[in-house]
Amino acid sequence: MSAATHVHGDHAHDHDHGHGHSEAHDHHGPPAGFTRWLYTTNHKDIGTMYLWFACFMFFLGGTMALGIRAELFKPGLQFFDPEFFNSLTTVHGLVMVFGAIMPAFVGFANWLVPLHVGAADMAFPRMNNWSFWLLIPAALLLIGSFFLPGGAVASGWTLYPPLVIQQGMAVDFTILAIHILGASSIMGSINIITTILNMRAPGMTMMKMPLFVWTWLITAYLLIAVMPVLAGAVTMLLTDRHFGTSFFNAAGGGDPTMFLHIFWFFGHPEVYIMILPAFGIISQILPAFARKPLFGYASMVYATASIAILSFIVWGHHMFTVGMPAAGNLFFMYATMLIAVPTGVKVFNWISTMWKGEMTFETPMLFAVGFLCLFTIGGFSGLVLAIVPVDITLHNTYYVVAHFHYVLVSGALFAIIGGVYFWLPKWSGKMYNEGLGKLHFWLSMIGFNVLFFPQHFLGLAGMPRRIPDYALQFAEWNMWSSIGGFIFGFSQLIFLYNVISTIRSGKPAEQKQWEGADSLEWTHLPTPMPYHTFETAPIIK
Amino acid sequence: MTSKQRKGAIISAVTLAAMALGIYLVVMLKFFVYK
Repeated sequence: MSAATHVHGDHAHDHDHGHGHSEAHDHHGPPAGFTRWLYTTNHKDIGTMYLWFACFMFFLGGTMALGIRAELFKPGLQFFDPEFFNSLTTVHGLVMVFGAIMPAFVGFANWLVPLHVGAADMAFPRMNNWSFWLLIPAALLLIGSFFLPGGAVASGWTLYPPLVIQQGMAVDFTILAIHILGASSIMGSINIITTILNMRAPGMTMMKMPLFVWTWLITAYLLIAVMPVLAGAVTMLLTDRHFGTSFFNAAGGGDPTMFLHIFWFFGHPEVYIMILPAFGIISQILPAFARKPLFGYASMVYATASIAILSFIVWGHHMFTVGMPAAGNLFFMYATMLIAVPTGVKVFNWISTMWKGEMTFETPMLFAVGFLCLFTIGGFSGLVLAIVPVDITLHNTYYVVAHFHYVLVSGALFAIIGGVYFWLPKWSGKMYNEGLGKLHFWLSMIGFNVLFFPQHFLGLAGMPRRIPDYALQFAEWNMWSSIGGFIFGFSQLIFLYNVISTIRSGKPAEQKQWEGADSLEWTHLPTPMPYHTFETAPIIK
Repeated sequence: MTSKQRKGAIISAVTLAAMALGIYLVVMLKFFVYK
């Protein structure tokens, strides 16, 4: 019996809700009111809370992005003073990385990992609850710092010293927020790994697990390995600021470059923490709509592990301009290029999965194909930036901004949106409006490319990032980029409306809404799902 | 959750938590001792 069952009323049922029992037979449904959410240990409730939290933070960070694009619509200062502009770029980055993308994927993991492995819940449901609720004070610290004297942290999301050592109290709030978020991530990762390793249903061997579970298993190991490193780096920032140390302060004999090494030892695996679960989601969606099994399952697993391992030896490519020895630069350049090999395996396998498939293009598939096309562009611009002499020219220009937004928006975010459309019928028991979904996709696709593709040109022409004003020759592409930004930003309201209207008044969805979907939640569970599932583990053949 | 699963989960969790704490302490001690 799961711990969740204990909490919800000691009804030690042997009923198998995973084999066609209707909701009417589910005697221990969710409690009513706010306490359901505050005290819940149910993985579905916690997954839902993570996803709504991520949604809120996504719109908050998106509003900051629109502020940035409004300021950059034309040369000259329009709305904000430069210090506030720097706070906008910094907090936009922190909110999107730690508040939107990462919690969204943890939400997917909470919903799907137990269902995919045939477990009743996560291994430690109470710790799961705690992992989520820690996010709220962390978010309040981060966002609340806008109202402190001196404003929010304005050093860029990388928090480089010496600038960050000289700023106001907001830096301390941010450091505390990062510590809390790190603790939350580590607890969440422990939960995910222990669930996958210990709670799989009989017959669910590791190599039978859906690829989403594999990608999250590897991501969770990455998180446990690098979040403590970030915690160490920001702890040292704190002691430099308040306790008389000089780790990163050259005036006291310290070395600011050392922070870069420690930060990016965390920071590059962090990139893969934000993209590997996206690979997992795409690997569930594409076979479902191609109506074929995933091509090269085993090679996908090995490629994911290879990317994760390589991510630990490429951090130097973020800092080619700090004056490392040529041998160091060459090592990081070649190691970075090596990552293209397992990534290429993945792209090849996704295309081969679609090859000669009976494809249809519902909204989740559109976002998955959009991911495939655009993420690959982001991957290629990453290869361009891996070349040392090219990077020295392009470092800190808008080319870098374009590159990582192709990876994180059309990569991670498109996968998240596609995943929501894919599983929303299962989660809510209702079907979304397909027409609105397709409208959302095409507006996002057009808006995104108008927003970020011109930023490659701006970067190649030499426009630096993190500036509120710019020279006249950059005006035209900045105007187009801002127009694209507003199209992309406002089109996300269609998504929000579609999700809310589906939950409130969507038409009933089928048990297996997508013909080609074959993971346990589609094949073994009714729609809508009962509150508790797989209390008796299914037998996997 | 069977007792075997519970035992495995606790062992896994303690190991992973020790790993996270260990990495944090190694980073901190390396630089504090070095300094």
